[in-house]
Amino acid sequence: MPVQPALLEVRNLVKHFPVRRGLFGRGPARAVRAVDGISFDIARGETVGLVGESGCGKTTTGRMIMKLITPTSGDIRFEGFSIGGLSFDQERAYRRSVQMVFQDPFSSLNPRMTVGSIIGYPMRIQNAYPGPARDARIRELLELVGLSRFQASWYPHEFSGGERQRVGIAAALALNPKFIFCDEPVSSLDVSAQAQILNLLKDVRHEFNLTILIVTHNLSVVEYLSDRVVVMYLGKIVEIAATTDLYRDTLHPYSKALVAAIPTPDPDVEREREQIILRGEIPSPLDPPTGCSFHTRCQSYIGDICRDVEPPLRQVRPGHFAACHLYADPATATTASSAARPAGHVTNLF
Amino acid sequence: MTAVSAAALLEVDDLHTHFHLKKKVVRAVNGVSFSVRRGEIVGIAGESGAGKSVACLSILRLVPHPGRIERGRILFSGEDLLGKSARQMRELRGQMVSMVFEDPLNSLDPSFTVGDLIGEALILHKGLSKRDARKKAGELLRLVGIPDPERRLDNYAHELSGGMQQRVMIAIALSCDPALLIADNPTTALDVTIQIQILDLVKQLRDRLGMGVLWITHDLGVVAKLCDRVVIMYAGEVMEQGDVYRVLKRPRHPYTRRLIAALPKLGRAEQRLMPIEGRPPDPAHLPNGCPFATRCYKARPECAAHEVPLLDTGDGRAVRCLFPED
Repeated sequence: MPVQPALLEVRNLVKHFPVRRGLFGRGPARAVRAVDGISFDIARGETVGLVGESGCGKTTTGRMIMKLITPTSGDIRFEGFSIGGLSFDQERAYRRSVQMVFQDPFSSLNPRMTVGSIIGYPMRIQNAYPGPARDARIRELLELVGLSRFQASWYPHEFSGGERQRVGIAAALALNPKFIFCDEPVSSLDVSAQAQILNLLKDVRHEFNLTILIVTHNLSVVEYLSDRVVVMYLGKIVEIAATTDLYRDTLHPYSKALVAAIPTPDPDVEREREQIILRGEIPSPLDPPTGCSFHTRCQSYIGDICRDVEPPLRQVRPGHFAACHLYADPATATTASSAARPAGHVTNLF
Repeated sequence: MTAVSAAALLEVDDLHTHFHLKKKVVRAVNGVSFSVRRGEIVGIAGESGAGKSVACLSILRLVPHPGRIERGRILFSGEDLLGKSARQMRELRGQMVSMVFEDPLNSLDPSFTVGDLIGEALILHKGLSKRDARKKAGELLRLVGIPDPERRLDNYAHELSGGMQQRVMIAIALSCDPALLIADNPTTALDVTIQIQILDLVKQLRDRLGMGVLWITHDLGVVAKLCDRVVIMYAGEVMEQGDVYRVLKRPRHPYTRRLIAALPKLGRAEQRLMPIEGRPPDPAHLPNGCPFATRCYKARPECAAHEVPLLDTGDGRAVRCLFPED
């Protein structure tokens, strides 16, 4: 991992969605704790994978970074500036620096616009590449993502799913962003289109020294693309590690179960690896369990402490953090708050 | 055609299912043959548009309009399903052969409770009283691993999580002790830790009930986890079939090989993925020869010249290729 200053710092980030109970809003007000106090950094040029199952808050986190929704509390800093308090001009510059690749290339492209105008749209809004430079830029981007410059006048329905996702990536790259948030970029694609898009993301990342946050439930995709992985469960971070460490030396019981559950087409790997089948379902983020939120399904439950005390995210090995009482030995663990990078410090909101 | 053992529960032989549109004929399934034995889990794998789902709907004779089974034979326990009347098919469905669909919430009627949904088939096919049906429904929910089953009987589908809904679908499918369970991508909408629970459940149920299972998926990882044998489909044809271990470990058809090479694999992140270039052929204008020839690294002129037969290679495998890998 490159030792460079963090491009993006997330600190104690919280997002609660209020829910009204009962007819006409009577009954007690409750909240879905979608993101419940998370902190992590993304270094310049780094690709970080944010993984977890539905409802763990990974997409909500990404959307807060994109300023599509406002955090309940906490701070997101981009190049040292908090994105919550930007002036009009700063905000405009920020939105130019961060771009997004969407999950579903069938619904994220306007069917009534040509792909040329879809790719040109961000430039139009930001007044970038005026006049004939814009058409040249559109053609350049099309070729960059492996399409033909003559396809600028085509409509989205004339492309396959993989090609549409290329258009989405071209539009995201149009303004030379520093940071790209990819929300499940390949989960709606067939195997060969998926491979093409993953390779394309890998290539553009190196070519433009992009910083990428990729949110996905597919751990093989994360392993292929990311330098570091952040694992979330019920709105909290349970493990942060360099990608190779996460797969070779998994610490948190939830991450272990997640890694064990990835279907892999190699029957030998399938036979040899540890079989972990978690009990039960993911609890509701409306009413998360006490203590460690994973204790209701944990295969390594060690006692009342799991039920009663929320484990902090600790640095267990250099650069490898886990929030689990299994790693509470003070001799081997330093709490993340006293450690330097990459997770910055830890949250103890409650 | 492949040799099919006498113990075959289901034998599909040279099945052709075509959709007759206004201006063209879409050949979704084009001469597909495979078999499922009792107690065996067979996976049908391939990318979207390969004809997997249409092949399975053909077995149940549920092909939607304007689709038609043109040709072929489907033998279930030795009886020809294509010769049966609509009424005979209705009796067979749910009772002997049942199906689990991809999207549980859209397949479960929202206006009935879980107990009613499971009980319906029991009352209809098994002639149980309402009370007995409810009791049996509770037992089935326990069988598929739903905690507190008696209470769940009164829930509606939308009150359950995705994993629970899929378990209810499986409970309905199992209600009349079918000999064959057909599942169309039933875990794609589920999280991986829930998916592995369902796969484990299906294996356990197979062991206990001895039913045959036909599992449609686009995920070769699921095939490796669950299935005994696999049928790889492409453009409406079977490209390769055989024992899962051998097919995935030593694929003989170039398409199978390329499909595996295109997948990100755990622990091999440094290997660059090899996408398959080009697109699958238009099912309304299929080529004469091998449908994969235009994208194949081994293709020679003879591949495109005429139809390539599915050849039995001896070790329980069959490959549709003129130049198979070793």
